[in-house]
Amino acid sequence: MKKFVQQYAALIALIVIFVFNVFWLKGDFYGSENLRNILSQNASKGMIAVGMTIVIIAGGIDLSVGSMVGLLGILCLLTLNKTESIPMATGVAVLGGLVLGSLNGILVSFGRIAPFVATLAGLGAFRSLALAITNAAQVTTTNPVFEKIAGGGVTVPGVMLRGDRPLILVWPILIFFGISFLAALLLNKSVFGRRLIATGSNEQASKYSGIKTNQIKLLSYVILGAITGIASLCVASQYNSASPATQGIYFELDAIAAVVIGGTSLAGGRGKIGSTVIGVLILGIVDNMLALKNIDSNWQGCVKGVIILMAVLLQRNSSQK
Amino acid sequence: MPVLKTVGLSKEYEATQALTSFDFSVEPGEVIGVIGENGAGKSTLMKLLAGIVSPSSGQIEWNGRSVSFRDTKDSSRIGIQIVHQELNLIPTLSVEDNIFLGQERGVGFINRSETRKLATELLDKVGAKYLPTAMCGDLSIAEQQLVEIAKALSREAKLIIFDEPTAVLSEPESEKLFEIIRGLQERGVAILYVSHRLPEILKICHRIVVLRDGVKVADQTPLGLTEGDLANLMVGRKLEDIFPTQIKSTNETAMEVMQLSTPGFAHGISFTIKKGEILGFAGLIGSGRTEACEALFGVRPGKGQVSIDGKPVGKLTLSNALKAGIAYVSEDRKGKGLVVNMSIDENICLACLRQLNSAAKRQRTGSKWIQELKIKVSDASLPMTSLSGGNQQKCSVAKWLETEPKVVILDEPTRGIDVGSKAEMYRLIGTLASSGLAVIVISSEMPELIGLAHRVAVFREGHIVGELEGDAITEIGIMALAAGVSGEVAA
Repeated sequence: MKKFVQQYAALIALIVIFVFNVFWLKGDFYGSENLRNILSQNASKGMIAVGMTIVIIAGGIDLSVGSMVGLLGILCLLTLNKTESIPMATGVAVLGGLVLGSLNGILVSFGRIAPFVATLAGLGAFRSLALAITNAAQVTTTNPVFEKIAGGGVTVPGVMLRGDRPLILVWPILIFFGISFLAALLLNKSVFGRRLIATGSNEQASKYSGIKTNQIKLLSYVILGAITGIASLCVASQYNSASPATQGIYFELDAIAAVVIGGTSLAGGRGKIGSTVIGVLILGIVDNMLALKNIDSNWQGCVKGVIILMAVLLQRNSSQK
Repeated sequence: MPVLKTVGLSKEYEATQALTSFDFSVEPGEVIGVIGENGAGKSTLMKLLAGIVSPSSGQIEWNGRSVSFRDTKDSSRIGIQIVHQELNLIPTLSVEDNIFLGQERGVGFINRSETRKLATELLDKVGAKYLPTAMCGDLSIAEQQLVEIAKALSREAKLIIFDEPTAVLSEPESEKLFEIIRGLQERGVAILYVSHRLPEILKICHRIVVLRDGVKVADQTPLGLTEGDLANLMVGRKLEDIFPTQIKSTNETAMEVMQLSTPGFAHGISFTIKKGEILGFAGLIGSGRTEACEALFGVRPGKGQVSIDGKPVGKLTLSNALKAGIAYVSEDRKGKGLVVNMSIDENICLACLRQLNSAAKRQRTGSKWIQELKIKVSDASLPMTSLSGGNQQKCSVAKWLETEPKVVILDEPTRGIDVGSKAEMYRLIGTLASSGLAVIVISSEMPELIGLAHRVAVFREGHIVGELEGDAITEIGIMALAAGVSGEVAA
């Protein structure tokens, strides 16, 4: 029983929080529009959390993703304003993510700099670059199509919201689930997945088994970088603007929090994508609950802190083994 | 034709000549023991053959062709595998994924059915009794070793190098390993067997190579050789009797332990030890010896009445144990004994920092013990990592002697140290006892207990199942008690 609770702590917590809100907030909470909003508001962070899971399983961590969202958002919109080309803007965000992710990965693997330190440098530098490029001013766009990236999506047939509006599952939600599915597939079924776990669990042993662990670590950061590029595009489209000082701020902490709440060990070598998705949903529902109850948003951090500690305590024995 | 041949193989690290012009050859199906003290060049030889380091000069021939390795992948491809002492498995992956790690079946994605089928066959070959889907982290060390061997076989090993394979195994588990090695040998796999344990080298090897200071000093069949001969070859000088002459203990009781227990590991442990006595704790791995002593020392929750010099110790906490004069030198030198990146004197003074409250005092204390225990180092301020295993072990003993204990518990005091250092450690234990200390020695090496102890208490499944004294301390006697065979049958 105890083991069961430990193993499924995150899922149980999600169900408990969900059911609690169903009874406490009733239709305000379980209305399909609100549930959709929880997903759409957390989809970008969720993508990053999934990528972060891959990096953490390989024994790393990436503190720079929040600043990356800021910098890539700025670059994306500047490109858009210059060229009015959506493919160009998208390309800049995603390729930029690949480049910045590779940079982190190279510093950590071949440069042998501790992941915390290497990406701490990125946390400061990427944000500062965003501020310097824009002279700290917000970049906006008037391109009518750009907002459709985060605003458009697939209409759910047969569901009508108040005022006869259709329920739309916006693209970021679908991308989030798509990335989660692919990441789970990669982790559990692919050769890369086995090598990723091996590298995070015991790098020396992995080397002796003939695994090029530096390549594996580099690749994990590249994957996270690319995902962060996609997320930055979604965020920029959602606001139809990018503000260099605040875009993506604390995303790295929310992503790591979701990974930890899901039960993935920061020591590396183990973890599940599904658990991280659950962690993202838990954080999203709690935010939503506080907002619906008009609780002062200054308390959000405290509530999240308590949830993180509870998650770690509940799962302690199982992850210590 | 020999499967492996080395010609003038040499390796130097900066100023040290780790291996000098090493020539030898290995025939298929041959089991070759490689012995030598720490630093004699055994690990250098292994690393060269596995491609972990490359030779400074000389060459390696494989099936008559000269080869050179860039990394372990190269050596592994032609059929050389190492089963490392510290097992190189991933605890969070299944057995089958560990076996095929780095050479997974399937392109891009794992071919699960093929992986499972091959893994099952390999596990069968090594006689493993668990499923290929079991998590490696859930297996015992002996079971994990079988995974390593299966992994070596999966790479079509023609030569398997075993590095101290029995260091972590109990006697029955070792016996099983020898059977597996015999099976491998019948299949034509050549084996290099590196071990500190001379009896098993004599038992299973066709040929024994002795290294000393990087030079091969002997390469011969074990026929007619004794342990003493091997020890002499390794150290290069006549070893005076390895064990010190036993001095009779006093009749004063130093420590009395009644009904000591620690949940899940040991129950109803009662014994006494006299001043000047060496009491051995024998038993299989997991029999509760270490755990009982950890409880006695207050670093593991436990209950029981303990008195020293007739005075009760009280609740079993670390501070009470220290006050009463109990010292415990852990078996896990690097994990629980020493802070390896701190200096030698800082380490020695770690348990007495309240008294040794200045750097000058600590330096003096460090130097004092270096002299007293003949620790081979020029300067007490050097980091612990600059010492060999045997000298590190002396430092961890020094650390506890500095607390002026009345009872010293030494847990596996000679694990992983070479014959020369062992002899010194035995001499030290003898000296400690003759100075009136009560010494408890926990050991899995039976000759050690037979040679050292006045009395041996045998543990089995968390209980003391018998005590042997004087001439009654024999391997058969200890094994009979430890494995649960009745004493009369064995006698």
